[in-house]
Amino acid sequence: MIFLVPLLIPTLTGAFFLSALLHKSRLPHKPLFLIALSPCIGVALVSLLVFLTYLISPRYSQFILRTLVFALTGICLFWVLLQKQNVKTGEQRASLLPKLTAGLKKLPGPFQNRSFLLKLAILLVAGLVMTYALYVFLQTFIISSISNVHGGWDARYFWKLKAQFFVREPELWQKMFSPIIDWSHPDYPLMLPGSITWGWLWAEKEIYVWPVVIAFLFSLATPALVFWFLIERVSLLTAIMGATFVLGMDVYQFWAVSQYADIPLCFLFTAAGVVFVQALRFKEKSLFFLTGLLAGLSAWTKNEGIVFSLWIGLVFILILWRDKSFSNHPKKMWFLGAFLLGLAVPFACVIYIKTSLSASGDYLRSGRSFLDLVKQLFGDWRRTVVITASFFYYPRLEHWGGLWIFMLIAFGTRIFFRRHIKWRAYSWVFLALVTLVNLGYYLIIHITPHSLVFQLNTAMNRLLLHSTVLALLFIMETFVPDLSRLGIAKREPATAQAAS
Amino acid sequence: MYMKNLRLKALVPKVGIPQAEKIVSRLAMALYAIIIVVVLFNRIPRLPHLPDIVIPSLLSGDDLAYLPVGDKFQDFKPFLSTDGNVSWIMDVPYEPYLNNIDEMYKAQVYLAPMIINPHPGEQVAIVYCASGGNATKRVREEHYTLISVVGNGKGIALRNDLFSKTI
Repeated sequence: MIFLVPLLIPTLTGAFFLSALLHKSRLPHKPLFLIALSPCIGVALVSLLVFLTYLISPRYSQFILRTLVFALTGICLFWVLLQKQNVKTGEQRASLLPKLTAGLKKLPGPFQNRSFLLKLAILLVAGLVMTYALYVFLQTFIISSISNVHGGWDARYFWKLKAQFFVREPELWQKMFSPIIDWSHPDYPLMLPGSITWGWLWAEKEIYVWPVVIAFLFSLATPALVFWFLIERVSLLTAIMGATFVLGMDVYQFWAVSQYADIPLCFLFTAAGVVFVQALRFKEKSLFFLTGLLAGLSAWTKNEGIVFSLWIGLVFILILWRDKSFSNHPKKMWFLGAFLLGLAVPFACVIYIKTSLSASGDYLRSGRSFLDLVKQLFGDWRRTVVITASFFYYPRLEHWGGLWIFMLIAFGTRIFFRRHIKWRAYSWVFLALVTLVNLGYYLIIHITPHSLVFQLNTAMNRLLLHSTVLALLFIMETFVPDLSRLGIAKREPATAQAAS
Repeated sequence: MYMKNLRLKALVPKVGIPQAEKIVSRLAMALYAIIIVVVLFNRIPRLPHLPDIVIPSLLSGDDLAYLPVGDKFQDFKPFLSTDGNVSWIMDVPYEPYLNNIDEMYKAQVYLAPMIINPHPGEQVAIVYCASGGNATKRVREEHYTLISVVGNGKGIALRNDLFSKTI
């Protein structure tokens, strides 16, 4: 199988990079986290190196690229080995198994006080449902990919076209930024083309299976990430159901096989969101750095990632300013610095493409002045009505499994029971990100250079998809509150007093 | 009166912590039930009948079972240089959302890194029209001369000023 080696190398790069970065971190279930994140972050990092290599010397790109990738992997491995003693503390080695069995105790609601056997049966049923969802997803993915190996429109004419410019005549790679082919969006970021280039350069031909493999990696990494996050934050059952929902969603399956950049973007939004919440919880510089890096990589994947990076940065600054546990924290500026450092490289690459390499774009250098954009934003109330209506029309039930309705119910639940239930720390961050991301899209659609109907028809479902998993995490955290935090005082006063 | 009470109750929830937990748990159960329904109603697409060669060729990277995007433009390739730009002439002048504009995109994918300019003006043009008559008419309109015919209504054209110099 021709794709195994180009797949293995970025996976190792990602795994060693994350291991080196998080060697002192208290992040729970690190092995599971590495499995979920390593291949995708490895591929994304390699795509950055592809771009930097071509900037340095397109003629010797293949040699320089391999040297850089091996150097990065080697340095990270060396760092991991150097820190091995620190990593293997008793706390860090805590096995996953006790956590998994603890999941039995954390089953929500009606299952809370049931017998052990019933809980086990419920988990088994949930496990079977997840296995079936995975089976259906894999079948759908494989059959659809074999039937349409070139992927959808964007995959053929944006992402792979850019990769073809990289691969076919390396010294002419900058022709991809030509304003003559403005229909291929010359100013788009290059995560996906860079990743495709890596595999094609390695195989020394444009193998059709490689973009499919990349799409597959990101499609499976997102439910894996959901599983990792929920298993510790909420419960095993919720983790299983969360991952199952992602795999089973119609919209998710549809776009997973398209080879578009939207599933990678959904993954990176989710990854940045969950790592951000864990960073706020554990207050570690390495986690803030990783949050910044993931947000930056989302900007390196698609223009929407730029908006996301700005929003998550804004939320972070507000937390640093207003949150009691941060406002007086001695390291708060270090945390912000780490976040910005992580963001810097991918963000700088995107800015460089938009300001120096590309001569045209949808918004920047589009020939429209700032005043034109403001006029377009506020000047036509009919556009606003159509866009507002589409935000109610597209999240309808059949495509999303009722996710957006549950999102509204979860939001209502938070308000309704704000005094009754103490919610998990920083779980509101998910709500804030989902709201801000979609608010950003709402405004940006107003100033689209394309026909509004065309834009809504082709992009609306994909735009909603980007923050879908963040919305799911908010719903799960709301519907399965951490009762144990209240329970100690409420349910077992005698035991608590005796213990004190 | 009943509606008024209902509204007041909704505004001022008088539920205790256990009831709140119970309601939220019920919501979780509803969500789980919907997830199961969503998964069970998933449809697996039917695999079309494929020759035995497809999957092995895909996995090995031979890709013999598939045609590249824009494969039909291979006959144009010998006439074109990769580092130049060419214009694209079709039945009607270029507009972004034309029905058959996909053919130009396919040509761009196949012929990259050569750049295809959808507007006339480059020294060489790819002519891609539905018929020979259309091709002759459009080439004349855009001030080009057809120098090579690749198919019915398809060919390579040279800009008139260059053509006259060449002659």
